[in-house]
Parts: sequence; C-alpha cells; structure tokens
Amino acid sequence: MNETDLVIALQQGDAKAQRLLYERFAGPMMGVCLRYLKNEMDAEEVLINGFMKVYQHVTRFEQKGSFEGWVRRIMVNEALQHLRKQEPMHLTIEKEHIHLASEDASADSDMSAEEMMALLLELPAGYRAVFNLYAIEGYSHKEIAEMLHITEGTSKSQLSKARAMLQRMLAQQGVTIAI
Amino acid sequence: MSAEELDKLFRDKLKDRPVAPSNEAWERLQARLQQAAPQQETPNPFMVPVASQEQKEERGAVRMWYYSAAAAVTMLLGVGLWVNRADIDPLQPSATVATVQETKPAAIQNSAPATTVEPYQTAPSATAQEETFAQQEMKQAQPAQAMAAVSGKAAGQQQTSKRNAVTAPVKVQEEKMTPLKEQAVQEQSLLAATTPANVQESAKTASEPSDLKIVVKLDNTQATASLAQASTTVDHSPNQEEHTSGSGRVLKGILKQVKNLKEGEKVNLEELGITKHTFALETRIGNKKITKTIEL
Repeated sequence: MNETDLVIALQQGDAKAQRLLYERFAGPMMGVCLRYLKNEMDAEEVLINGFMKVYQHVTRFEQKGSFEGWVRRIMVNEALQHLRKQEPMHLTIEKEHIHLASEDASADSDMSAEEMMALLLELPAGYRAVFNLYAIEGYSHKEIAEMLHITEGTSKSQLSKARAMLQRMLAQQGVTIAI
Repeated sequence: MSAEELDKLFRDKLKDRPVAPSNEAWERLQARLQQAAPQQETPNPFMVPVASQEQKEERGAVRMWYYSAAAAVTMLLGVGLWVNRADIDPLQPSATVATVQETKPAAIQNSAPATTVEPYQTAPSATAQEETFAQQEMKQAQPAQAMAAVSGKAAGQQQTSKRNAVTAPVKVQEEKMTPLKEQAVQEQSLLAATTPANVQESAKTASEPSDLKIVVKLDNTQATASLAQASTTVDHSPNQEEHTSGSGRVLKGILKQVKNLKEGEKVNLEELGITKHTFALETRIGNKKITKTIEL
C-alpha cells in the first residue's frame, strides 16, 4: 500500500489503514516528539494526540506534498502546544544563558545520534524548540515566530544562543573524547 | 564549526531518527479512537473542542469580570462601613464623657467638703501664703477681668471684691478661683441666677487648657446674699477644686467617696452646717467642655 492509497484508506476511516499508519510513522514521529519534550511520557502523550489529529483531519489532507511532512507538522505543533502547556515558552526563552560559541569545536561525525540527542536535550526547552524548528525541521524564523508566539528577533537570538550552547558542549565532548 | 555546519550535523543525525514508542502507546491510541468514534459523526470534530476552548476562555473572562465586580462591591461596602464607623466613633466618646460628667458631680460634691475643710485648717496658720495667693490672684485677676468683660458685668466691682477677698484672712488660702467665685456669688445674689458663675468658670477653664480639669464651685447663696450686701467677706467661700488629668487615683478616690457618700451626703452637709449650696461643675476632657450646676 503506497502513501496515496494509505491516505485514501485513512480518509475513509479504515481501521487497518490507521494501524498501518501508526506502524509506519510511530517510530520517526516519536523521535520528533522526543526532540522537543525530553520526557518520554510527555513525548508519547504528544504522539498519541498527534495520531488522533492525523486520523481526524486526514480528510483535509490534499494529495499535495509529502504526507509524512504533513504528519510531522502535526506532531511538531502538538509538541509545541504541549510544551507551552507544560512550561510557558516565554519563561524558558527569557532565560539568559551566556555561552560563548567556541569556533574550535570540530564536527565529530563519529558522534552517535544518541549522544547528539543528549546534547540537544541539555538545551533549555525554549532554545531547543527554536533550534529544532529552524535547524532540524527547517522552518523559517517567521514561521517559528508564529508557531511560538514570539517575535522574529527573539527566534533569531534564541537560535544563536542555542547554537552557542551546543558548540560549547560539543567542544567539551571533543575534549573528553580526545582524552 | 560554522552555524550551518552545526545545524546540518544535528539535522542529519536527528531528523529521521526513529524512536520506538512503548507498546502501550498503540493500545492507548486505539482506546482513544474508539472513544472518538461516535464523535466522528459530527462533521468537524476538531472544531468542536476548539470552539469549546474559546467558549471556556470567554466564560473565564466573564467569570473574572464577575469576580472583579464582586471584589469592588465588597471593597466599597467595607470602606463605607468603615467610614460610617469612624463617624460614629467621635459620638461615642462624647456619650461616655457625658456619663463621666454625671458621675463627676457626685465626686465633686464629695471632694468639695474636704476642700472646704482644708481652708479652715490652713487659714489661721498661713499668712505668708496669703501674699503668694494674692499674687496669684492678681495674676489671675487679669483673665478674670477679661472674663468679666465678656460676661458683661462690671469688672471693677469684681476686682475690688476679689481684692477684698484676698485681704480677708479667711479667704487667703483660697485659690485663684475663689475671687471669681465670690464675684460669681455676688452676681448670683444680684441676678439670682447661676449662669454667670458658669460663664466665668468656663472662661477660666478655657484660659487654662489643662488635660483634665474639674472645677467645682460651691456657692453659699444664702450667706452671700446676706454677707455680700453687708461686706464682701464671705464665711463660706466657694471651693474650687482642680484635678489634673494625671490624677487617675484622685478620680478613683473621688468615685469611692461618691459611692460612700451617696448614702451619707446629706449627713456630711449637715455636719458642715451648709444648708444650701450651689455646685457649679466644669470638666474639660480633651476638647469637650462640660458644665453643670447642682443645687443642694
């Protein structure tokens, strides 16, 4: 069953298609949710809510673009909503973390996804959300500003701070690995 | 490492990194789906919760308005009550003062005889004191003159009567007030009215603003009537008592005496040989001035 057929089946409310969708997307979407929420329980809650929304609104999906992208977008929105509920975004964003970006941090391609995930989860929720949205999901600052109810400038400053933090952590990681 | 490199590193590693959810997740999702199944009959189930959320927000806003209105009303009520209470407060002390005044006349009556006794004792002994008293009287004579002027009586006569009283050995010990009392007595005898005495008393108290002052004037109207015409010397000169506010003990003693003498008042008066007395009482408590005349 290809993606188009799957979507059609889902739009007809087919239970098997729903199960198939879950089996196909649960893993990647759980990864997305975890990038935002850190806590596995919260991520799973968001995952379920996201799937529910996908099932309920799949009729709105017009066969344009990637269905996976559409599902991912729903998941990201769900995660942000949860994040906002959990701890007001502005609170975490207002936190000022002064971290100097260290240019000498080398891109360690040998670094595992788990290690990088751990670094990402070190970030404050606000930084992490902006970095996720911009660097990984590929949203523009304008979109991020709308999604997080912040200004574009705030989004940019948050991104630079998140990057600085990550670079610093990477540098520390590199040192420890070298030793 | 540039920002772009950093972004790419994380994007490549984490964008499509699958994490297996727990097995219970699907069961929970299924349970959710079954719950939502009947709701799916509605054309747009998603819109319903959104609308309800908005309604909730609106309800919350309305509720907040109600709360704020209630708070405002309670505040207004509280302030109003408080203000009213503040208005009532000044009245209450006056009422209590009035009651105090009622009790005080009796006390003054009690104390009056005691003071009358004292002058008799001291009278013969202290001639030297006479001078000092005379000076005091002279000092006080000026305000008395002013008061007399206020009262509209002949000041000169009063002064002369006062000086006569000062010279009289019996009256020497009498305090400043005595000349005025004599004057008052004369006035009373002339006018057959107790009001002038009160006027003078009040004027004196006004001139001397002590914290708590009780002025008692005892006028033997009969004696004054007879003696004033014959000569200004009066056997029973008016008695003045000044109680300073600090003398709470004095008040208590007076009250005790009042209680004791309430029953035996007449007896004491008879023992003193005073058949008829006019007590002019004036108390000043704070800004309140209370005057009362009692005839026995």
